[in-house]
This record gives sequence, C-alpha cells and structure tokens, in this order.
Amino acid sequence: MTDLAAELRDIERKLFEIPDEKVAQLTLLIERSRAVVLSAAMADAALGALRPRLVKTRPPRHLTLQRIFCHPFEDLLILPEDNEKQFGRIARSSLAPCWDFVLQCLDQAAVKELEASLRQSPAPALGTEADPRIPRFGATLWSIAARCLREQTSRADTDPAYRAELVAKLGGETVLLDLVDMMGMLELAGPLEELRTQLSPKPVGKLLDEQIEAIRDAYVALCGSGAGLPGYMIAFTAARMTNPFQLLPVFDTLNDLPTGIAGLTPGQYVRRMISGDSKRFFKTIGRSDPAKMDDGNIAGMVDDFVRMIGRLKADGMADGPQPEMDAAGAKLRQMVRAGMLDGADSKIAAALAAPAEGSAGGQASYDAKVEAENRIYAIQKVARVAGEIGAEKDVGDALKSLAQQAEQRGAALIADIKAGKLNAQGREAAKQQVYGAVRLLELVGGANAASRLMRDGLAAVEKMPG
Amino acid sequence: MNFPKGAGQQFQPARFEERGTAVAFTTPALSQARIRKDDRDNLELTVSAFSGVKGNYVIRWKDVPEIFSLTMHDRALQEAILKHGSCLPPDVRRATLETAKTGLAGPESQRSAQEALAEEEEELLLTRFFLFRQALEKMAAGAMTMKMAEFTAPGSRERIKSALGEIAQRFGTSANELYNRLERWGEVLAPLGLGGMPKECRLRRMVTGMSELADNIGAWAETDKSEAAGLARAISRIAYFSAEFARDLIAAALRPADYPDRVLANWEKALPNIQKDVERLWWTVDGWEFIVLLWRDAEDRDRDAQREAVTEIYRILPIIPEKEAANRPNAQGMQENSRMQVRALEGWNTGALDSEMVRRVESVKRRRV
Repeated sequence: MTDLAAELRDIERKLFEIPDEKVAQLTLLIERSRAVVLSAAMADAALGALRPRLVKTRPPRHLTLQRIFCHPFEDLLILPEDNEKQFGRIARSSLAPCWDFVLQCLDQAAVKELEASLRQSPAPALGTEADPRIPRFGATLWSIAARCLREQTSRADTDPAYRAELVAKLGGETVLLDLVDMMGMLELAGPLEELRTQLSPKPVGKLLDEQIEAIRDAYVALCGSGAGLPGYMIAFTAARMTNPFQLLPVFDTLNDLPTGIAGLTPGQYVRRMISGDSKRFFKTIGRSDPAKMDDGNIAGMVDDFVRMIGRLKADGMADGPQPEMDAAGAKLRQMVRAGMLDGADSKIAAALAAPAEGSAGGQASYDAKVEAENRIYAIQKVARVAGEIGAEKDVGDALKSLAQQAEQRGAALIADIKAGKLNAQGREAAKQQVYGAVRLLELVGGANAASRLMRDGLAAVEKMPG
Repeated sequence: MNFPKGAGQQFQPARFEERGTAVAFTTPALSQARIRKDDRDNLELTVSAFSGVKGNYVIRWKDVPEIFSLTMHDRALQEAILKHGSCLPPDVRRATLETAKTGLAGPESQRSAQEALAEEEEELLLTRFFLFRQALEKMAAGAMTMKMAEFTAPGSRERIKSALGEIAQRFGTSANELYNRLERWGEVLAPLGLGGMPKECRLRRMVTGMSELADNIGAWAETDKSEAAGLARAISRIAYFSAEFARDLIAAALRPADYPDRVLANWEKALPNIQKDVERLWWTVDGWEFIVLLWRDAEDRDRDAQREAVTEIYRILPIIPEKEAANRPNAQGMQENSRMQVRALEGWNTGALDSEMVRRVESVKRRRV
C-alpha cells in the first residue's frame, strides 16, 4: 500500500469513528455555511468527503425551499456531456437559473411565510429514511410553482418575443426546456411521491412483481385522472432504476395509453429515455482519460459498455446511438491497448523480480505484486468481452504472452534453485519465490500450468541443502 | 420466503463437531464449505448440494482436489489441513493463515495473514500479562502488583517465578509449576482476552461483529421489499442468538479468573472446563467472520448486490446445532433453516474457475474483523 493510500484509509477509518451526532452537526454546519462562509465548491467538496459516512448515518440535511422545489425531479438531474437537451433529463446546471426564475414569479410574501415555517419546523431524527417536511411543505410549494410556471411557459409558447426574452433570462434554450420538464414533474408531484415509496430505496435494481404492479397501477390511474403529462412518470420511474430496460415490457403493454407527447407511446418514451442515457454514457467514455484511470476502472467501463450495447441490440435500439457507440468502442479499444496492455509485461516482470515480502524493499515488492495482480484481473475481465470492442486479438495475444513469460520465469526460477543460486537465501525464501511465481502463472495461465510449477518448484526446494 | 416447518431438520447436525468447521477456500463453489471427522476419524468435507435441493454432499477430504477444480491456494490449504489432521476451528484457522501467508491467495491476503498472526502474538502477550497481574493481585491480597514493562523485561520470567514462591507453597506446588499454569491459562484465554484490556481480542471482536451484523442486516430487511428481506430477518435473528450464546460462553470462560486461587489449586479439573468453554466459543463464532465481512462489503454496493449477499449468507449461515443450545429459549426456532445453492459458481458445462468470482472471495479474505 502506498503512503497516500494508507493516509486515505486512515482518514476513512477516522471518518467512521466520529459519533453520528457529530456527523449530523457537521453536515448541517457545512450546508448552512454554503452560501455564507464557504464557497459552494468547497462545501460540495467537504460533503463529498463525508459522503460514505452520510450514506450510513443519514443525518437530517439542511432543508431549503430550493431543495424542496427540486425534490420531485431530483432523480432526473444529470451532468450533461454537452449543451444539448437530453430527453427526460434535466441538467444540474439549470437548477440555479430556474429556481431564481421561479422565485421571481412567486408571491414574495407567501415565500417568506413558507421559509419562516420551514425554519421553525424540527428536523427529523438521525437515520430517518425520508424527511417528512418535504412532502408537507412541498404540497404547497409544488402546486403554486407548477401553476406559475405553466402560465409562463404557455405564454412563451404563443409569444415568440416573450420566449426569446425567457431564453435570454434563463441563459439558454436548453435551460428553458429543462424548466418545462421541471414544471411537468411538479404537476405530477403528488402521484410521483406515492410511487416513490414503491420505488425506494434508490437505485432500484431488479424490479419485483409488486413494483411492476405498482408502476402499472399508478400509470393507469394517472392517465385516468387527466392530471399533467403522464410521460413524466415514465421518466421518473426510469431514472430511479439501475436497469431501465426492465421497463420496456411493462410500458409496452400500456401502449394504448397517452404520454402527453403526440405520437409517442409509453414504450417509445422508455426507449427515448434509454437512448438518451446510453448516448450520454458513450460520450462519457469518449472523454475519459486512461492516464487517470486504473486498470480496474477501465475493465469496469468495458464491461458496462458491452452490457449496454448488448441490451440495446437485444431491444433493437442500437441504431439510434450508433455513431456515439462506435466512437466509444474505438476509445475503449485504445484505452485497453494503451492503459492496460502496454507495459503489462514489465509490471508482471517487476512483480516476479520483487523480493519476498518481509525482506528489504518489502513495501515496493508488495506494491508491485498488487499492481500486477490488479492488471491481470483487469485483462482477464476484458478478455471475456474483448470481441465486442474489437480487441479480442490484442487481449488474447497479451494473455498468451504473459502466460509464456510467467512460465519461462518459473522454469528459470527452478533452474536457479537446482543450480544452487538461491542457497544463500535459504529454503524459506526460495519457497516464497516459488509461491509468487505459481500465483502469477495461475492468474495468467490457469491452474494446470501453475500446479506443475508448484510441484516442480517445491520438489527443487526440498533438495536444497540445509 | 416461507419454508415448511421442520423442513430439512432431520439432516441438521446435532453437535458442533458434526456441523464441522468452515474452511476459507477461495474456490467459489467451496467457499465456506465445512470440514469434519467421520466415524473413523478421517477428515471429510461437507458441501451444499449444487442443484438447489436441500442437503449436502460429503466428500473424503483427501479426494477434494480430485473432484473439484481448485485454486492453487486451496490445494495448499487442503494439504496443510490434511497434514495437520485436525478440523478444530483454531487449527483450521492456523492452517488458513499459514497458507495465506504463502501469497497464493494474493499479496493482500498474504499481508493480512501476517498481520493477523502478529496480532495473535500481541493478544497472547497482553492476555498473559493481564491474567498474571490479576491473579497475583488477588492471591497476594493486593500486596503484589505488576507493570507491563516488568512483564516483558529481560529476566522477568525468573523474577516473577521467585515472587510466586510463597504463593506456590500454599498450593503445594512449585513456583515453576505455578508460573507454567498461569502461562497456559493465559494461552487458553488469549483468543478472547480479559476485561479491562486496552483492545478486544479476536473472538470478542467477532462477537461484536456478529451483533453489529444482526442490527445492520435487520435494519436493511426493513427497507427491502424482496424475498431477501425475509432471509435477512432470519440472518439477523440467528446472528443475534449466536452472539448472545457466545457472550454467555465468554462470561463462563472468564468467570474463573475472578477466583484464580481456586483454579490454580484444582488445576487438573479447572483447566479442562475453561478449555471446554473456549472451545465451544470457537465453534460458535466459526464461519461468522466471512459473513460479517461479506455483509460489510455488500453494504457499500447496490441493492441487487446486497440481495445476492443476503442469499449467499443465508446459504452458509452457521446455525448452532440443536444439542449445543438445547437449554436456550428460541433454540428450536434457530434450527428452522434450509440450505439453497442459489447461484452457479463455476461454468456449469466446463467446471472451469470463474476468475472474477475467485477474486470476489479473495477480496473478502483480504480483510479481518
């Protein structure tokens, strides 16, 4: 372990030693100081550092009207890869201008009254799953904000001059489209809150039968009620899931119901959401810097990519994001070559040449071995799916070459032991080197080759003098 | 998930020895399989049936490498246990640490094993010191005290022995024998340590870990809507029950330390009783370390991974055998258990090892409670 890794581990350990109450106080302090003492970036960084602990402790967060306003559509928030509007998603950067605009539209006295009530309302206890103040204050805020936004956006729809003014005020066309989506979600806030309990905690993994039933029932009821644009419930549902492909059979059976967008069925709505998310994922890959990623992350990204394209192809949706997909595949191929395969030989060699644990240079030996193992595991992981990114031959050749090297080095080690070159180090040290060589050969060449090496190596050690 | 009452109960082990000791194999299909002795004192492995049906396969220990495609680490571990010939939990643990020390399960497991062995040495020294100090204070009616520096200083052994002379006479034995008894007693208690020590020893840490698991997985069950919630509740109940059972054994094993003169005077009878309690404690916590670590790892992962971990934990859950806990309330309820092999751990048609699953098992092995 490097010094930095040890330090980080130490910080992480200390973070978990702080009592829950202190974490809650610290969180509230940072959040309240956000606008006053700390910069937003600094407050976010501080909260980021606390995040692993926050997940476990769940302290009550500093609740503001803005946070309540965002609650119905918070699942839709994303960090976009470009300035293009993504269907069914809202850019995080749109929050501030849209909230400012909403605040201007609302009755200022009512806002002040709401803020005062919020300040006086006690925070929930530590570890509470959901803050009950959100739906309580939200019921008022969401409906008045939705009404006011509906007026403004309707006017923009019919008055091009006002629309241009609004775009300028908000800071761009995409922000206006995000504002429209916020409004759509606010209009459905009530039914969405009911569905949220069924689709919690987030992210929702494999859908349970009861959850499928709840989604269907909620959507049918929403369409029957005539409130808002029902498609936003689909966006909400998809955004809470790790695998939204599961929603295709659910909403395909509801295709005779409306979404609020002419010509777009519920099933198509899900597909557009997935298509947008996959495009963004592919763009993220394109912007990744292999120099800043470790082997495991690259392998994980390849794995995610292959899963994603597998699902897209299976559902006949691969045509939409094809250019982005191809670009991402090419980028991953390059990342695997440059980030994982290049230099793998030298890493393995370094691990094999490293002195035994506990001897001088033990830490360097340990680091070299860990690094070599991580790389081998990453290559093995990519090897399973390398064909999907056109790197099958590269990865296969690399593994073959690594196995040959490991085998040759193992044979050389046995020869050295037999020739008495390790006599000075003693049996234990020689045995340790055999084990090291066996381990690496097992990882790259499999158990059979490693088994032979272990048998021959230990037999050679047994014959060493003393 | 509901199982018919009494399902599978006729095949449940009645005693710890019959249940066997969990082995920290890295071959996924054998992870936490159990070793025990047959009626002819030969080692055998019990492993869950692979088809998902209830029941276990029983395989002769020496045949395990022939039947399964084992990792190199597991081949070495199998040999180490076979060579030692014991399936008692402390012996299996020792063989496991010695094997991990070779590095055959990776450098991180190697380092973790080295640290664990060093920690055991430290705990042994600390426990002995605390026992000597406590015993001397009580037997000399407060006239003798001892500091750690005096205990570890060169020549301390002889100095302590000479100080023990008078007390030894009272027991009709020699100072040398009295010293040896205290040393042996300390060795027996070292895995659990004594009250007031600056750190918890391993078995106590395990019990604390089991209680935390009971709380955490129980709380998780309340947030989950899947069938795994029922399994998690059962795990929580069993972890809680086992931790309580273990705490009683700790109390029983440590109680004699309050009356050292009685123990030392009746040494031949007293020591086996203490050993028995400690041995039962070892059996009680056996298999829980992997479970506690598996859940800690799963807590930071997504819901599907957590459900998978719950299912896996339920499969390998160490139930206290019926006759071991016969006098305890709720013991019957704890026996209601079923074993299901839920996920495939190797390529079904090739039997080849899945390197990613091996990696996952190894990653749990790298850490300690």
